[in-house]
Amino acid sequence: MNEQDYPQGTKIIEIKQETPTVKTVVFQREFNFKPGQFVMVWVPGLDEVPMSLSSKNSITIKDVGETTHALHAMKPSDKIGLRGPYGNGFSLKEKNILAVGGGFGTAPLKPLFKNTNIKWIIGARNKEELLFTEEIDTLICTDDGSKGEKAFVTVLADRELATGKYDLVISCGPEIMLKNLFKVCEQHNINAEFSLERYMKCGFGICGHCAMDPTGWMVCKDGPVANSKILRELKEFGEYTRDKKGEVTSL
Amino acid sequence: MLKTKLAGIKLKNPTVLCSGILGTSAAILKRVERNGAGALTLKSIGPQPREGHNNPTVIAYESGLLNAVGLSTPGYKNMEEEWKELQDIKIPVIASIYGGSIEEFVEIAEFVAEKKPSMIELNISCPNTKKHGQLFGFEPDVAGEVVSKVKAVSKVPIMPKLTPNTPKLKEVAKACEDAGADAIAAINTVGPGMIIDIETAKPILHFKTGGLSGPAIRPIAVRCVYDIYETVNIPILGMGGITNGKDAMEVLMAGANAVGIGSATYYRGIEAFSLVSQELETLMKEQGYTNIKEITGTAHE
Ligand SMILES: Cc1cc2nc3c(=O)[nH]c(=O)nc-3n(C[C@H](O)[C@H](O)[C@H](O)COP(=O)(O)OP(=O)(O)OC[C@H]3O[C@@H](n4cnc5c(N)ncnc54)[C@H](O)[C@@H]3O)c2cc1C
Ligand SMILES: Cc1cc2nc3c(=O)[nH]c(=O)nc-3n(C[C@H](O)[C@H](O)[C@H](O)COP(=O)(O)O)c2cc1C
Repeated sequence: MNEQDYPQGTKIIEIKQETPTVKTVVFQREFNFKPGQFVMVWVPGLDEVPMSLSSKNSITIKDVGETTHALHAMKPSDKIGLRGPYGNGFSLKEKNILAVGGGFGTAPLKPLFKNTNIKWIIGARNKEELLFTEEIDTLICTDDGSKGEKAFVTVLADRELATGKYDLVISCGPEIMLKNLFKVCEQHNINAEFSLERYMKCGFGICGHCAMDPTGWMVCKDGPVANSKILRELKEFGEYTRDKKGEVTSL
Repeated sequence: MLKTKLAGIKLKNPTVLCSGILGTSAAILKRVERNGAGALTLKSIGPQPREGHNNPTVIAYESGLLNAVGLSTPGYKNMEEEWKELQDIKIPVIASIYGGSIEEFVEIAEFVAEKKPSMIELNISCPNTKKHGQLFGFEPDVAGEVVSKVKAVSKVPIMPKLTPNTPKLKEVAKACEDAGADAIAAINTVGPGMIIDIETAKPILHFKTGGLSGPAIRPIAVRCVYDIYETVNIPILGMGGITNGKDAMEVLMAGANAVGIGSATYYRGIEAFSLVSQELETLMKEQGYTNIKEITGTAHE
């Protein structure tokens, strides 16, 4: 429960093109939030979608469909509605952290750029899609080798974890990547905290749409960040999801 | 002490999960079971796969919730996995169904009855779509026809869920009883209502209007249950804004045999079921009640 759980219009003050498919939208309203928490973003007349906060007053959006396209088409002084923040955020109890961002999955990790206990791995399909790599000292990899190492983030993570320097891996990115990264974490016996995505409606834990099998763990309220204990329980993690109708579809 | 019965079905306590809240998958229903509910109602199941409305579909305002989910459903034929998983649930499971025509209600009820839920709830009261829903609950003769036709194909007890938005509530309740309903659930959401964002000058819900639930509607729920109790002899599942033990007792006094818990999960989390039960039990002890039956309808004496 927040003081106010309906979207409130706020003015966009700046739009930054981060990659050919990713833009950061900076707005007037500021949120008191924990890294990993998200807001519900309302495009009046169109839809409302969950987006992680990439700072106290911004979201970083990949253009993948109708609503994200509409957000990309906006200009400063246009208005969107926001409610939140929702969800748990990263707990960050451990000291030595490896952060792994895949594609636009680096967005929810950005508020942690100031944290000096974190070592970074950022990966993307190609050099153009690398997100925020100019802003931080990070290991880099791309699928096509156009910048950094030609490898998946899991390969770099595996090598880093082998040094024994870490006690937590935090990550966000495509679920297949997370699934593979989780295997690496389990092999090294290192705790993970991953931010997950499921179709959401209410955002505050009552419609049940984002509940995962078999425990009924709700991504919006119990998550979106799941730790290793929870990830082990979630049999649908990396396997399937439910669409807007509630029907099961494979990932 | 908290045991009660609804159309012959035994509940270990009177708290019943309302349809459409947390009822989308077997996994989340099991979690509600673990959190102490006396019975569970599934999210209303419809004839065909349906996406429902775009978001925002559910929002909260100062005194309640407003929703227009729009009856999203995988469709009754696409839920085999969920039906299988639901078999592990030990407490009664109520299947809520809706249709766009009386024939569709009958078709789904016939199919769903084979899955052996404890009861079938007929959602003839949803205000959030153009074609399905509350129209069936507005007129006594239409409501009665849905009930009698469904009764004819179902061995499972039938419980129509009524809308508070008809001026003919008592007549509708009577028609349902006469048509063979085994119990009545009331109320579905109130309104519809609308909230406009003043910054963008746009209605917030994508469907523009939505049904009200939560604390704001409790007095309406209490009045409706009271009126229905005066009119029929079949048991009543009372709901609408019940958030704590005191609210539950109020609705029981108005005439309910069990109470629906829906929006309370927004205010108190999934723990709402055990909390309401505990609070009700404490109140009963304080006031000298020894069972739920003693409370039902006391406001009429
Ligand atoms: C907790 C969380 C945080 C997220 N953070 C970000 C972020 O920081 N940056 C970013 O670019 N994207 C983020 N997303 C994903 C983003 O919500 C979707 O990309 C967006 O909803 C797509 O909408 P669309 O209309 O453009 O595309 P569509 O074509 O409608 O959908 C494309 C995909 O997005 C999913 N999607 C659509 N609506 C919703 C919804 N209401 N809830 C969940 N998923 C939905 C669909 O299931 C589909 O897989 C996040 C998702 C979640 C659950
Ligand atoms: C998000 C939401 C979805 C709902 N979906 C349904 C539904 O599918 N079928 C139905 O019969 N009632 C539905 N309802 C109505 C509730 O079951 C209940 O009748 C109403 O909310 C009043 O109870 P409450 O104040 O305890 O929530 C829904 C209510 C909410 C808030």
